[in-house]
Amino acid sequence: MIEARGLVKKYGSKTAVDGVSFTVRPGVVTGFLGPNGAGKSTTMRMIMGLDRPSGGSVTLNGKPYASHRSPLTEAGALLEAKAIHPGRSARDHLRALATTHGIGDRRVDEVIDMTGLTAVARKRAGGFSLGMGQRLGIATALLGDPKTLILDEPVNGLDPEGVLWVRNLAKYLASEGRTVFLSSHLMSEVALTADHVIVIGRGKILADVPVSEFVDDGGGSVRVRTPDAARLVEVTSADGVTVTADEPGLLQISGLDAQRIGELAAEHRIVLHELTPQASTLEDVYMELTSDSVEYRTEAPSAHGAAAAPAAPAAADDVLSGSTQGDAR
Amino acid sequence: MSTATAPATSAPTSPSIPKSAHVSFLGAVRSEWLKLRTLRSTWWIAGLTVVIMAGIALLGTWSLSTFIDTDPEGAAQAMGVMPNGAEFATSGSLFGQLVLGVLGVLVVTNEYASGMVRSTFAAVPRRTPVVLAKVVVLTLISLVTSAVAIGASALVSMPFFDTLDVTIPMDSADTWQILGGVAVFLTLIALMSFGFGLILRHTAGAIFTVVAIAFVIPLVLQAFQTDLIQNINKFLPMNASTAFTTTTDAGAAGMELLDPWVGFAVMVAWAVVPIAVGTVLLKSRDV
Repeated sequence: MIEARGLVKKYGSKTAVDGVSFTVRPGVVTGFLGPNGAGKSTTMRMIMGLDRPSGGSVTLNGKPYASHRSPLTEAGALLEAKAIHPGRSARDHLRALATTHGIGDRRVDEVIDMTGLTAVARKRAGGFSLGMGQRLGIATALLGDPKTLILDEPVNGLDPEGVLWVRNLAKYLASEGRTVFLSSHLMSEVALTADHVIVIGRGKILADVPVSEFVDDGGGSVRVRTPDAARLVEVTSADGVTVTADEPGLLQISGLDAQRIGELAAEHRIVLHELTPQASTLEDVYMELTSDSVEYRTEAPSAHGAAAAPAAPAAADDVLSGSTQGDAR
Repeated sequence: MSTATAPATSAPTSPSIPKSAHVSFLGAVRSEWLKLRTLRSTWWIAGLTVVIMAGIALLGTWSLSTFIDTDPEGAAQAMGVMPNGAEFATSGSLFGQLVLGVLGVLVVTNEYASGMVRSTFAAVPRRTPVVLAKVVVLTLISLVTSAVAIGASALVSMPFFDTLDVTIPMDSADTWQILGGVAVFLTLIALMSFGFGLILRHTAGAIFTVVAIAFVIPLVLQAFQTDLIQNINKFLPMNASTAFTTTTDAGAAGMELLDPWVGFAVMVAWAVVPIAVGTVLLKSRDV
């Protein structure tokens, strides 16, 4: 359990984390989502006692990290920046950390095995690829078999197999009753891995909701083009189905998947000109949510704004209760 | 997995982690020793210290022993400076200190350069035990390296002792004050360097500072023969340590020095103060 209360971090006049409060519960994977520079890494470093908060507090199971008798079994962290000396072997790196807690080589070899590093464990870490370095970082986090895992962008640099492995690992660790706090700037990554999501932008919490809620409303929308729109609305109308008409002959249907809409249309002999499941609307929700708080913006604003416009409002209104006014609308 | 919705209340712990596992000072010392000995640079620096110190002792005694044939008077004058053979065995310490100084700096700055420091302080989040553990292992490796370097220097210079008509009198307190004093002095320089590394967190900056304080500034100040500057110079590490490790007035080469034990205390202060300042800063800084 991680509890942050009014956590603030200032670097000179710049406020990286601006009074955030949140709770990360055990037993589920909590995603920490936000654009680059939103304050994710800073928050995580403060949890681990590496950065001193300028205000507020953060505790792990009721105590600041440094106050625990056995910090490594309390929490393990993979932090974004490399935290490994390149001249030391992976195994010696892990042994050096384990020995601070009187943890023996058996556990070291166990995490080496778990992270698939056995073949390179005695090689100098400086020669590791990005993916292997990331695995060693995860091995470091797992070393004390901690109750809380803090993973900053854990899938960075991993190959598809590694990405899948991290997802399953995070879910498995949470299912064991551990607290898993995982950051990403990719909505899709969080949607696939996390049960709960905390969205941060410009140092402020923008949303703190179950992923299912975050995703539900926008998800499953299908764009249908038909010359017989009125009849199609009639045959598809049911509980939980919403239909909006953006222009004559173009419908936005959510609550039914494309297959079912096609079947219904065929059943009632309605001509369809287009039947398109909408691309990840949760990405759009996220975009809209953070559009005001993206630190570094590329100058191509129209592209996603236009794409997001039709699908996002319903979801954004529900999830955000109007906390941000996305420029997409 | 149906259990996913009803998670266990407390996570199981791996059987290979002892129930009693906790962070301790002894653990931190073991960790720092493991970190130090698993880097090649440590052994390169230790080896280099021995080679440089022995090399300088060898060159010094050899050149003086040839000098004695060609210019007995000049040699006798130079010899007056070092009547005890132990001083030949420690003549390389001026350069040895710089090499061990680099080790002292690297012990901390290489952690900042690589980011290892984040792993270190995640494991020992109270930070001060890490500093003390580093002091312990750095003290041990510096003392041992210095002892080996002094021993090697004595061995390579001994063949010339007959010609030079000196010995290392093992039953003399002076001998042990010189030999022990230099080993301690080298160790204190390594610790001082560690302190500056702790404050500056940057390898090049810390090495520059150490070389300036331990080597360049005292030599430059020697050119200014005013009372004020010479009084300052007395307190710099080079001269404070000479006060302790030279048993004759001649060793001062005409320079006024502190009392031996005052010099020793000043040397200790040169190590303790930067480490104390660095520790205070470390406690308040972000990693």
